[in-house]
Amino acid sequence: MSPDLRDPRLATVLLLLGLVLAGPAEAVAQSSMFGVRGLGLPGRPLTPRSRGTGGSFGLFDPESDLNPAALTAQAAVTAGFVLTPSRRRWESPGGSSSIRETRFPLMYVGGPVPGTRVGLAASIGSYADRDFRLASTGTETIRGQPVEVTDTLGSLGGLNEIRLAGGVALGSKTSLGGAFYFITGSSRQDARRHFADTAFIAIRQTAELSYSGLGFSLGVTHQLTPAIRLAGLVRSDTRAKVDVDSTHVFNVDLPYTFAAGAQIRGSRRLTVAVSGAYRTWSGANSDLLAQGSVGSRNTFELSAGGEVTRNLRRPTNLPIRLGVRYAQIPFPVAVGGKPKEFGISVGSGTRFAQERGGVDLSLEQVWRSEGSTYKEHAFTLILGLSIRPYGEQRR
Amino acid sequence: MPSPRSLARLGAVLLLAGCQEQLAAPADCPNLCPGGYHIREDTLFALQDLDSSSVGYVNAGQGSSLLVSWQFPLSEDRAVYKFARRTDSLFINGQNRAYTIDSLALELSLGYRDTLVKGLKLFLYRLPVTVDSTSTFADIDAAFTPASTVDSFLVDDSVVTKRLRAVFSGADTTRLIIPAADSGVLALGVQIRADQGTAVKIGGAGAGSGAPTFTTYVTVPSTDTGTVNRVVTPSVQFNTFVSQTTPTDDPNLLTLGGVPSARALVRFPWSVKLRDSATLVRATLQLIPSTAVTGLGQDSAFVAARPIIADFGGKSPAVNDASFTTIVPVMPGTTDTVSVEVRRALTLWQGTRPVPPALSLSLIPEASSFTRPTFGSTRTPGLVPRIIVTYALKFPFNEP
Repeated sequence: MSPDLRDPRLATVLLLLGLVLAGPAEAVAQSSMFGVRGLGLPGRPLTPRSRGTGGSFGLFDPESDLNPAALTAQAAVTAGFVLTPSRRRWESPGGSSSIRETRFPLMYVGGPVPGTRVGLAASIGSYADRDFRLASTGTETIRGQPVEVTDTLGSLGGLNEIRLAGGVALGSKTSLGGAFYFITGSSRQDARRHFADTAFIAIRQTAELSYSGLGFSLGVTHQLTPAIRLAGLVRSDTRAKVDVDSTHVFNVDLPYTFAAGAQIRGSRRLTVAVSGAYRTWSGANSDLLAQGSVGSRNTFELSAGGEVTRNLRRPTNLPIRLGVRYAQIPFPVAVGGKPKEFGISVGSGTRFAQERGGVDLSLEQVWRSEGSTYKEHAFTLILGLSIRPYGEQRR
Repeated sequence: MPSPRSLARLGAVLLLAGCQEQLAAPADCPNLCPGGYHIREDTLFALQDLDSSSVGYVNAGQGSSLLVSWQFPLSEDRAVYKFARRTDSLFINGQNRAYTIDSLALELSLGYRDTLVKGLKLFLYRLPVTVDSTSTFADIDAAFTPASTVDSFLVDDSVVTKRLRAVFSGADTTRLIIPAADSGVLALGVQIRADQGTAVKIGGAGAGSGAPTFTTYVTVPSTDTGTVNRVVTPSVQFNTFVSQTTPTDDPNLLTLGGVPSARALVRFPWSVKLRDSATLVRATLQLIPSTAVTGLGQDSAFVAARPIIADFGGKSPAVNDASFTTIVPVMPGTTDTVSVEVRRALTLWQGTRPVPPALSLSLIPEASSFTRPTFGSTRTPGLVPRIIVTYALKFPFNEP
C-alpha cells in the first residue's frame, strides 16, 4: 500500500523529517558585521507574525521561542519552521559589500494537552549567529621586505537553543509558563592567508568552537481587561562553556533577560502591541575582554506593532501586520562602540486546508550602525510554514 | 488551496534554496579582524660539530656520464669502456653458425663541452681487456699510445652535445679486430685534445640512449634472412673514468660531489614550538660557498636537500619522495650563497612522528660532473649553514 500524501499527519511527518535533515547547524539567524565580535549577533527566534509586528507580538505568540506562558494560547498541535533569506549591504572603513544568505532561525512543534489548560512546546532557535567571511589585504614586513598579504577569516555556525517549554492557564485570565534551554552549537572557523610573493606558501588553519550552556525562563500573561493583555518574562542563562577543537578554553557569562509587553485590542479589526526587553550582556564583558575581545554591554530593545484583521470571519486570512523596532547590539565592533539597530517590518499570512496549513510572510528592513563608521542595511524575507495536522481543538 | 503534498514540495524547494550563500565581506582590521595571523621568523644555525661530509656514495662510472679532461686545472681524466663478450657465431635454425664481419660501428655521446675552448678532438684507443675498477690512471694512461689509436672525432666548435659515430668497413675493420686471447671483449679508452686544456662529459652505461654502443654487422651462411638478426651489439660490461689526482676533502667544510661522491649531513635545532604549533610559511636553507664553486664552463649541477628518515650519520637514509626534495642549480664560479627552499622537507620535522631534524645534501648528478662545491660548516665562522624559518603561530580562534 503506497503512502497517502494527502494525509495531513503524514505530510507533517515528512515536513518534520525535512527539518531534521536540514539540521540545527544551519538554524541561525541572519548574520551581520555585528556578529563578528563576541558571541555573534543575538538571534531572533520569532515567527513571521511576530517579526512582522517588529517583535512586539513575541511575548504573546505561542509559536515564537520567547514566552512559555503564551503556550496556553495554542489552539492546535502545530509544527513549523521559519526561513529567512536576506540581502545585506555592509559598509566599513575596509570597504563595502553586498551579501546574501539564508537561515532557519526557528523550528518548533507544540500544542495543547487535551482536556487540560496546559500547553507544551519544543523548539530549536537561534541564540547567536556567527556566520561571516571577512577578506582583507595588507602589507607585512617579512624577512625585511614588504609582502602583500590577503587574509580571509570565515566562520559558519553559532549558538542555538533547544527549548522545552510548558505553560498552564490559571483561571481565565492568567497563564504561567516555564522553559528550559539547552544552549549548544558550534562555529567552524577557517583562517587563510595568501602571500603575493609565491615564495611564501599560503596558509590555512581551521578550528571548531563549540558552545554549551543552560538556561531557564519564567513567563506570565494576564488579561488585564477584555482589550488589554500583559506579558512578562524573566530568563536566566548560565555560563556558556567554550571549547576550541574539544579543548576547553574559557567560559562566558550569558545574560539575564527581562521583558514585558502589552497587547491592546483596539477594535475587532485592530490589535496593537508594545514590548521591551533588557538583557544583561555586560556580564560577558570581563570574560570576553580576557580573551582579547572588545567586550560587551547591556542591551535594551523596544518594539511596537499592530495587526489589522481584514476578514472578521477568517481573521487569519491575509491580515496586515506592521511593526517598528529599536535595539541595542551587545557586541561592539570597536572598543567603546555602541552599536544599535532600527527596523521596520510588514507582513501577512494565510491559513488553508481547513486551517491546517499556514504560510506567514514578513519583510523587514533593518539599519544597523556603530557611530558613523560601521553601517549595515539588511533586507530580510521571513517566511514561516506551519501545519496543524489535527485542526484546531475546541476547549 | 494547496494540498499538503504541495506544501511538502514547497518545503523541500525552500530547504534547497536555503543553501545559497554569499558571505564574503571586506574586513576592517583590526576591528573586524578577530584574531589575526602572527608571522614569526627564526634563524636556525646548524648544531655545532653536528654537520659533516662523507664520501663513497657513487663511484666513477656509476653515474650517467664519464669525465674526460686534458690539462684541465681541476683534474686530468681518462674514460674507459669495456664491452661484454661478443659472440663469435649466431644460433640459426638449431645450429650455431659462424659469421663474417661486414662492418663495425662505434658510437658515443658528447654530453657537454665548453664552447669557449676550440679545436676539441676526442680520441678512441684500444685498451687491454684486463682493465677493471682497480686500474689506476697511470695504468690506463700508458695504453694511450699512437699505436693503439682506433679513431678520433673532431667536434665542431659550436657543438655542445652530439652523438658521435665512427663506422669501420673494409680494411678499416682491422682496427677493431678482437684477438682470440681477448675472448671477444673490446676495451676502449677516451682521451681529448683541444687548443687549450679543457674537459668534456661523455655518456656512460647509465646514460640510456646516450650510452656508448659497439655494433658489428655480419654475414651468416644462411638463406633464412627473415628470422636472423645480423647485427651483434654487446652491451657495456664496465665503464669508468680515472683521475690523475683526487682532491682531498677538508673536514672543516661541507663537500658535495666529487668522485667517489661526497654528501653532507647537517643537523639543526628544532624547538617544540616549531614542531607542534607553527604553520611553516617558508624555510630557506642557506649554504655559503667557502670558495668559488669549481666546475666546467657553464655545466650546471644541482644541490639537493632531503630530509632523512633516521639519523645514522653518513649512512642516514634520505626520504626518497621527490615532493620533499628540493634542488637548486649551482653554477661553476659562483661565490653567492646557495639558497634552498626546504619548507616541504621541514614539514616532516613536525607532527607526532617527526623525522630527525637534519638535512642530507648531495650533488646531482653524482660522479658525473666536474662541479664540486664546498660550503662552510659550523667550524668555519661566518659560513655556518642556516635555515631561515618563517612561520605562523596558531591562529587565535578563541579570541572572540
